[in-house]
Amino acid sequence: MIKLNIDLEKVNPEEVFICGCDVTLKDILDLIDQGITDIQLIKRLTHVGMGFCQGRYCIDTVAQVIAWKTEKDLKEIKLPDARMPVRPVKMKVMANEK
Amino acid sequence: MRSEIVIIGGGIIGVTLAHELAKRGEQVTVLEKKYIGSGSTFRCGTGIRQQFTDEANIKVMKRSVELWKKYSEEFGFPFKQTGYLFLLYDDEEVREFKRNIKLQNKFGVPTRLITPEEAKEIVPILDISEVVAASWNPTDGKADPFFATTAFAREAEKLGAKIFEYTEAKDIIVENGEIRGVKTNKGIIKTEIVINAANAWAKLINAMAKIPIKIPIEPYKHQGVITQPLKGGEINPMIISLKYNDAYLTQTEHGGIIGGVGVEYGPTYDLTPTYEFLREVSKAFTKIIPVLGELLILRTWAGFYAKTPDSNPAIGRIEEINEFYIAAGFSGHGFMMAPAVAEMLADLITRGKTELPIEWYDPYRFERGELRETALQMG
Repeated sequence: MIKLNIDLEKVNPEEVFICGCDVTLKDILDLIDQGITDIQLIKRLTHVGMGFCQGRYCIDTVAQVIAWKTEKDLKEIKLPDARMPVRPVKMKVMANEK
Repeated sequence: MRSEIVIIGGGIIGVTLAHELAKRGEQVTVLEKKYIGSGSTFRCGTGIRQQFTDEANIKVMKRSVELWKKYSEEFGFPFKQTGYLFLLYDDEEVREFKRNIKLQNKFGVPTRLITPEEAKEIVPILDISEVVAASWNPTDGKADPFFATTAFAREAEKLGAKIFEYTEAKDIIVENGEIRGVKTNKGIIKTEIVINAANAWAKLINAMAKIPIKIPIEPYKHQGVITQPLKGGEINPMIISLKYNDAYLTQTEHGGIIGGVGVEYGPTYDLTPTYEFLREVSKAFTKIIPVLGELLILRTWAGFYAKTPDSNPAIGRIEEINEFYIAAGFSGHGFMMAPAVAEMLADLITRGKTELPIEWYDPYRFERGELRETALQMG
């Protein structure tokens, strides 16, 4: 997991996109403020991790934000299960697999 | 704390039942070990069909569709009657479906046999080169499981129901055959009535109450796939192909193609997606609609079919334990059946009887060796 090298306390959460699919840091912080700290739920409520990267870029960051806000160790934040394919792949490619 | 009725399981069955009971003035509490829908409902294939092959399931699903329509309008969640299209590939399949259609028509479901050309008019990108006919019911449909489950939960709460998430039932306190309460990870809830709506986990709840009869419900892993979105309206109905690995597929509101095939593992509580599924679903889908081969697969996921030996759920009262009810073992049909199940079980609890054919789902049938005709299952 990559350590964030920015200070989240000092940024404007509305201007920080945590995910390439239009999810801001503020979207995540608002949910955490409501007590929603389960990544699975944050994912469903904001669609973070559900776009073309399927969470490969954004989910780590969300986990770090949750750890920071809930004062937990990053290891305690349960990540969503890995789900195939690792990268989007055309259906015809899979259809011809043996 | 105290509650007249405790429902264990916050999936679509638990929340629709909580809503129905609260509407009738009952004081009801739902216990969900994670968040609502997290067990199987949020992993479901979205389809809602009346094209079953036995009287009971046809009648129940006809009522369910009426309720889906009513509640989607009242609560404002997406439910669309875009139909179910079964593709048929040989004379034997056609003969079998003609029998089903006759039965469905008898109970007011307007299914009809159509030509491959008519099927292509409904879904122009369909490959009909091998199709000889199709069974088409335009009143079947699909609903968004996320919106629907959340809406029923919210409406139940408005009527006074309590829904406790991240609250796991740990034990059921029974004294001399009478229920006294439910132990949870957050304390004890005193109650006299417990409803097991835990579906894939139902056997664990039955064991807590020491149910003296055998109700075989086992979790089987099934998987779903979603592709990148394509322009809306390309695939409106749910398309079924029993020939191609019991495949089902449709397009979501967002535009992605969603569906699955009959690749099954279990009994297991493992939910790891498999490469075998990814390959088999791609093979089947590209046979049914070749142009889908050009779409990117975004992800797969797994969920449980809580299966009974005849693929029909166990719904009813367990006489030996006062008062314990079960509505579980939906074998992949829980989402579509939920509103009607809620109605018939609430009828049984509050009025002692129901007009819907609840006896078909008698939880004692396994013990008595009276299995039903296997319910038609996809995926």
